[in-house]
Amino acid sequence: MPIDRAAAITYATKFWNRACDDEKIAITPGWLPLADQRKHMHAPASDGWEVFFVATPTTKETAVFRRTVNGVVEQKPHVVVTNDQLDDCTHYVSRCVVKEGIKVTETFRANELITSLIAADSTKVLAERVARDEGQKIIDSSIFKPGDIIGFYNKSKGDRYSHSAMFTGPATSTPGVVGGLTCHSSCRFGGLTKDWNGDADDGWFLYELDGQSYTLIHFSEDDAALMPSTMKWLAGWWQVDKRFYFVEERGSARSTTRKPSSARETQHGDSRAYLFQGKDQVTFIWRSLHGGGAIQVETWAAGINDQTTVKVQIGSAQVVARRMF
Amino acid sequence: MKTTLATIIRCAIASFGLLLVSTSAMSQDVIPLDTIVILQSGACEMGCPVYRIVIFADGDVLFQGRSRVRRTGAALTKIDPDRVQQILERFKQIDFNRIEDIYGLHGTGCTKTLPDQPIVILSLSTGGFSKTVTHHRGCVSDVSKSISLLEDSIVKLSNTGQWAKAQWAK
Repeated sequence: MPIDRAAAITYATKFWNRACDDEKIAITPGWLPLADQRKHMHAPASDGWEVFFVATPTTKETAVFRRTVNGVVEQKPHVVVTNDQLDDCTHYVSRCVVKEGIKVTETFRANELITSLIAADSTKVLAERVARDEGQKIIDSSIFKPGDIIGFYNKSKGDRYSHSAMFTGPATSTPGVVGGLTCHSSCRFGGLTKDWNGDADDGWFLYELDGQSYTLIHFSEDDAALMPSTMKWLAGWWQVDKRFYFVEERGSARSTTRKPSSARETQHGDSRAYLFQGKDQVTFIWRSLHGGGAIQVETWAAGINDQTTVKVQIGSAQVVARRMF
Repeated sequence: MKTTLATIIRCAIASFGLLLVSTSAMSQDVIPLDTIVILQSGACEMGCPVYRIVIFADGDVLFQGRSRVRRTGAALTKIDPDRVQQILERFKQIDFNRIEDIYGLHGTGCTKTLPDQPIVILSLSTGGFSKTVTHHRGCVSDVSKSISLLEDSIVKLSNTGQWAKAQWAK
């Protein structure tokens, strides 16, 4: 089943502020099937009752049964789930990912979902536990697309992923424009949140906390394939400024400060890049192999005749990459 | 004239009543038998410990750890009445019976609201006085800060700090 980002966004557009279509909500410490709640509160789906996450004067959100009859919103007086118990973020993201056509083990644990996505063959981890400004470089590159996933890692909260969300895209592709996200508990959708519950936080980074960092996971199935003609001249060793890059034929690269002695030498390096084919360029997105650190987005001019030197744009700077062997 | 006198008497009784409530509720010497302190700390987006603490006049303390705490489920402990007295004193220090009922989120009295902080519902019943304050710990203000300090001291003085401490499943 091919990846369907539009399906994920369509699903999220409907369910971002209401219970998922599988009729259960993740609460602490487990699942809450809605069937019993519907029976208990006389709120059958056939009568139009749905569980919405709504803000109250004192709590950020609670889950309640609502329906609209002739334009009038009706709400059951009792709360389905209190704010204390709501923990539906990763369940919701899992459902979005499933709708996107990605095979994933359904879970409500953020750490479990994010670590499994990091390890999956279908993903490219463009940033792992980086600061907001570093993550924004990836948003600006336009490689990160709606339907991709963000993991929120918090050192002060158990040294683990404690939250997950799906990227909904920036309003424009202008560098620096913050893209939106969608998540549950609390419910958010880029650009829609404030009108629903008064909360203005729905940028991709959500908000900045001490010890918080971001992991950006990209589904790569619908990326343009790297052209064989490109890889023919790009694969191998290059020197860029004081660093040495080894570009692998499979579309990734490693970076090291140790000069290689031969074309056959391979080094582990301390940074890794994924390569993305553009119309007249190849984009390298570098990240540290050890997590954290800086993200570097490079644009290599492709399709030139002289294949031993290439113009490389790194931010506002331009350098020349020179083939070594 | 009669009406005026009656009004004065009624006002005097009412004032005496208020004085009685304010002094007996916050007395430093005697702990009213009806004293109950309830602290309910809620969830937050990135994960916060969720628990409830109930403190009685005689020093009995009930703890219920709900999630992301060292101890889940119910637990009972006992503290010295002096500690109950200290807790009541802390309430008095922040003028608990005069502060607003809601701080933060959709309440007033905050210069801004920090994200990812729990809502703490704090109730005090003592000497016929009863009040509940809903407090978003992300509320930035002097009063909010003093409420946060009160909440912290309740956890500490009730001897439940070791249970309420955050713990996350790996």
